[in-house]
Formats: sequence, C-alpha cells, structure tokens
Amino acid sequence: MNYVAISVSSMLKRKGSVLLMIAQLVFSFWVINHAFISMDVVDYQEEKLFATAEIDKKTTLRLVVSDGEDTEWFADRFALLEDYIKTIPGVTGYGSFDTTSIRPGHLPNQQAYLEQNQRDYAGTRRENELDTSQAVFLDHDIYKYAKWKVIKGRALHKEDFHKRNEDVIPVLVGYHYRNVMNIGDRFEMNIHDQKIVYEVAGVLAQGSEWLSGNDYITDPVDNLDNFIIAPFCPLIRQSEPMDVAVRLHNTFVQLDSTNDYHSVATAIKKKGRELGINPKLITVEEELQAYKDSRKQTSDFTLFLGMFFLVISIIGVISVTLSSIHARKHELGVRMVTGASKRDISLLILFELGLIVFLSAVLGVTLNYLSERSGDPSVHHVRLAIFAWPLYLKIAVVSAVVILCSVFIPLLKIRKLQLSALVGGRD
Amino acid sequence: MALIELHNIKKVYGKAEYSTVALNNINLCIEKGEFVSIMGPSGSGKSTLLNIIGCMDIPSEGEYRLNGQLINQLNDQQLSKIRNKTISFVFQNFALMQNFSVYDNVALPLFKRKMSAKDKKEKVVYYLQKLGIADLLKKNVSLLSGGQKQRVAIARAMVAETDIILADEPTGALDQKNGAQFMELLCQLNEEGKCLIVITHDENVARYTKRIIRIVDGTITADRKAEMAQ
Repeated sequence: MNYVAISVSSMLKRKGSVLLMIAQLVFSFWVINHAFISMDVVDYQEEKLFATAEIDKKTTLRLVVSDGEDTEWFADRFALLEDYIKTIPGVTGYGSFDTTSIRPGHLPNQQAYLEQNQRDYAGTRRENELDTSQAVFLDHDIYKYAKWKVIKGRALHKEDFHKRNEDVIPVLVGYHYRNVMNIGDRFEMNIHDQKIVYEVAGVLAQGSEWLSGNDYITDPVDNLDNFIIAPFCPLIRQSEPMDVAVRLHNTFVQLDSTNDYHSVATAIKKKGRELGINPKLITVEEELQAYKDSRKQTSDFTLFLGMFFLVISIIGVISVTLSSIHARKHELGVRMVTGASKRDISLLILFELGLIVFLSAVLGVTLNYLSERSGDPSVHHVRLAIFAWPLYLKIAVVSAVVILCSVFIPLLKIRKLQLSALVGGRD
Repeated sequence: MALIELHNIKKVYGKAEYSTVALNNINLCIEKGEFVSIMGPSGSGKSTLLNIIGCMDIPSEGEYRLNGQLINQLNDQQLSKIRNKTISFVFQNFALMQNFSVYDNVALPLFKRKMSAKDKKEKVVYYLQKLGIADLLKKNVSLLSGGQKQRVAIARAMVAETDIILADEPTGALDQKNGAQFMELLCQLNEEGKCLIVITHDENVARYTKRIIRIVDGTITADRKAEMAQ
C-alpha cells in the first residue's frame, strides 16, 4: 500500500474521530474564508471602480449636499450652484448620472424586445416588467469617464448631450439588444406628460459595465448588456425637484489637478452659503477610505473569530492525532519492524493530517461559496467574484499553517516511540 | 566474517540507581545459514538480545556488527533499512496489523521496495501458495486462527527475502500440532539457506535447532551445537 492508500484506509478505520476533526476544521475554514472575502471585497470593488470608469482618486470629487431635498426651493438653488461650479477655474468637468427603469414605447421590434427581456429577466425581480429596461442617463462629462466600446453604429458625441426635449435623442443599447433594436430604430418615452423620442445610435460591446446608481463605491457595478444609455435631456435632468434630488447621489466634479482642490472646495462652499445650502466636495479616495474603514471592523472581527475557531480546531486535531497514535502503537510498531523508519511513520501521519485538512479546506470554501450564493443577490456576485486563485492561495497558506501546528506535537511523540516496546517488549 | 558478531554487549535500562542491567558482556558469533535457539528463563534478557540483533534496539556498550557493518552508530533510517532488507521477525503475538487483510500484512516489507503493484502481488501470492494459505489473501487477519496467523507472519518474513529470520517464542500461542508444523517450516527455511534465530524457553522447540545458546541474568551460560530432534 502506498501513503495515500494507507492514509485513506486508516481514516476509514477511524471514521468517528476523523469526521469530528473534519467538522471542526470545515467550520473554521468557512469562517476564515468569509473573513478573507470581507477583506478582499473592498479591494475588489476599488479595482472594479477604476476598471469601469476613467476617474481619478484625487482629482475626481463627488458633490455632496447634506441638506439636499426634493423641493422647488432646493432645485432652484442647486441649479444656480451647478451653473456656478462650471465657471470655477480649475474645474474641467461637471456632471451627473442616474440609473432608472424606463418603458420604451413604439419599438419597431416590440415582440423581440419582450422575448429578449424574458430571457434576461428570468428568475429576477424584473421578470414581471418585461416591457421595461434599465437606463443610465448621464451628462457628457460623465460619459467621458466611461470605457465603453461600441461594436455597431457610433458612440455618442458631445452635441448629443445638448439636445432639446423635442429633438430626437441618440442612445446606445446593450449587447443583448443588438438584434432587437437596430441602428436608427426609434422609440418613445412619456416623461411628465411629455413625449421624448430616442434613436438607437450604437450598440455596446458585450460585458460593458457602469457604476451603480445607488452607491458607486459599495454597490456592484451594473452589467449593461440589457441597458440603454441616454444623454440627459432638460426634461429628465431637472424638470422636477425629484429629478434633482436623485442626481445628488451621483454628481461629480473633475479638477484639473489636486492643487485646485482647496480653492474649488472653498468657492463651492462659499457659493453654497450664499444660496442657503450646504455643499461640500469629497474625493473618490476619501470615499474609498471611509468605505474601507467601515468594513475593517467587521472583517477584523470575523477574522479573529475564524482564527479562534482554527486554534480550537488545531487543539482538537492534535488531541485526536495523539490518541490515534496511541491507539495505533501496535500497527505503527509492526510497520517499523518490517522496515518503516520513524520518518516514514511521521510522513504517514503528516499525509493523513494533510488529507484531512485539505478535505476540510475544500469543504469549508465550497460551503462558504454556496452560502454566499444564496445570500443577497445585489451583492453576492461581487463576493462570488472573490472566489479565485488569490483567495485559494490564502486558504492554502492557512491550511499549511494548520498542518504544521497540528503535526508538531504528534511528530515529537513519534520520535519518542521505542520500537522494542511496541511489538517485542523487554524480557 | 561471521554474519552476526556481538562483542562485549551490555544493555542497561533506566538511569543511575534505578537502572537494570538486561545484558552483560555478551560475546556471540552467528554464521550464515545457522539455526540457533536462545533459551533462558523469563527476565533472562533473551528478548533484549533479540531486539539488539534485530536492530530494534541499540546496545548501551559493546560492538555489534552485522555482515561486518558496525550497527551501534547507525541512525533510525539506516536501521530501518536493515530491518527491511536483512532481518525479518516472527513474534509470539504474531505482530500482525489487526483489521487489515492478509495481503496488506504480508506485503508490508515491500512498502519501500521499488516494485510495481503487480510484482508485489505476485510475490505475496507466491509465498502464500507455498504456505498453503493463498485462499486467505483478502481475509481480515483478525478473523484467522492462531495457526493461520503465524503462517501469515512467516509469509511476511519470507516475502522480505532477508538473510536472517528472528523468531520470538514463535510457537508460544500455538497448539502442539500447529507448533510442530511451524517448526518444520522453519527447518525448511533453514535448509534453503536462511539464518534462523529462535527465542524460546521450550526445550521441544530448541530441539529443532542446530545450536542452543542459554542465557541467564543477561549472561551467556552455555553455547553448544545440538542434535536435530527429527
């Protein structure tokens, strides 16, 4: 029998204690894996943010108005503030985006559109809204951040973002609509009892993504394969106080350089005071740091919990392994009498432990994957994206540490075994 | 050059005032192909002597040479290699791995040999057939009778194809008939050229051997050639 066969056979002979060890370790690996994901998800989202949008940590800033509200009074003052911001020296870009659900009317291929949505929305909360699509409305300066590739038709141009409500407004459609909405196809939307006409200008490449409209830092990016990308028109941008209020979440100021930060922030604050509102600027870097800080406490606690369970498991594994060596003294003695050295016996024990730890790690990570998958669908695909080689490498390192810590005392015990006392005995 | 040479061997267990001298001033030479019995009362040191000869233990003092190689200074790895390649054991309690099959037990010495699984199996089956227990190949050893267990133990010793077989009270757990059959088997192995050393306190067993060494209180008191009983 080789090491694998001996180890498996030995484990099968001690099913009870082996199962107990595995159960302990699986739980520990589950918690540790959960902690690693919580830690990695922040880095993952940061990476994804910069991979999705051409923004800069230090020179892209979000405009925050803490006392913003959906009133005519505020909307009027905010419009004045927006006009002012565009004139401040050092500001090279200003704009907003908003993600919302739209119902395109009078589509030439309405049936194909519904069928496509039926496929895309199956099993989601949108499956009862097949005549709607998600749309991203945005300003030109925000559109410049996007890294989208247009595979059919044309990209949007600066003048497309300055259309009037009565103009035909060009839009881009997601990859899944490539055979549903043809270039030049028009559809209508009724907004505040007014008709807006859109025309398909281009199709985005498959897998195009954009920042979440809810929270561009903490929420996963949106896959745009069944989205429509449209420039803001005045009617949508600010005809109602609510339109202004929703844009407040995603309004950005682009600076020429970090040197302009202080002067721009001061100017905006001053103007805000004049208007009776309270605006301020936050860099993307500051927002990311705040997000990291808020997650750190939770992930540190989970990691501590995982480590605690792991230590308990290691103690359990050591105890079971020691008692197993004691119970198998005769077997080990017979092996040594027939030529196995203490090194061979140590390797056997190491192999058995390795097998148990490996199995537990695989089970722990798998169970964690399944539990993550059954969690909140709005965040689970970000957490599931962490399941990749860097995570597996960390788990492998933890496994190696568990094996080393667990095997140390049993190996000392093996070193002390007296062969003559195991099978022969002193006369 | 003798196969086994022991010069002034002393074995002490424990330390200082709690120490026990198990062997004292043992001088012994055993040639290739000899069939030796070591006799003595309980506590005389015969099993300790066997442990030292079998490289399961090392002497406290003196010099042990096996095939001319000084054993005293060898490490665990080297000693285990000798136990695998040069010496086989048969014990009174059979020293079989309970809950393992006959095959697993007999194939144990081949664990470190560079052989294919097929060759290992052929070898095991060959010796089991020679001993008439090939039908027990897959049987769990805990289900075997005492006689069958001892045959499995000798099959394991034969599979190793070592020059020396050490047997510690090999018939102790067998009835008279099985004991006699077992000794016949050892005689046969000796005729094939194996050097056999049997520890026993049974005169009937010793009669099968060609040389009887008596040991009392850790010292050799007699060493004489014997007439075969058969």
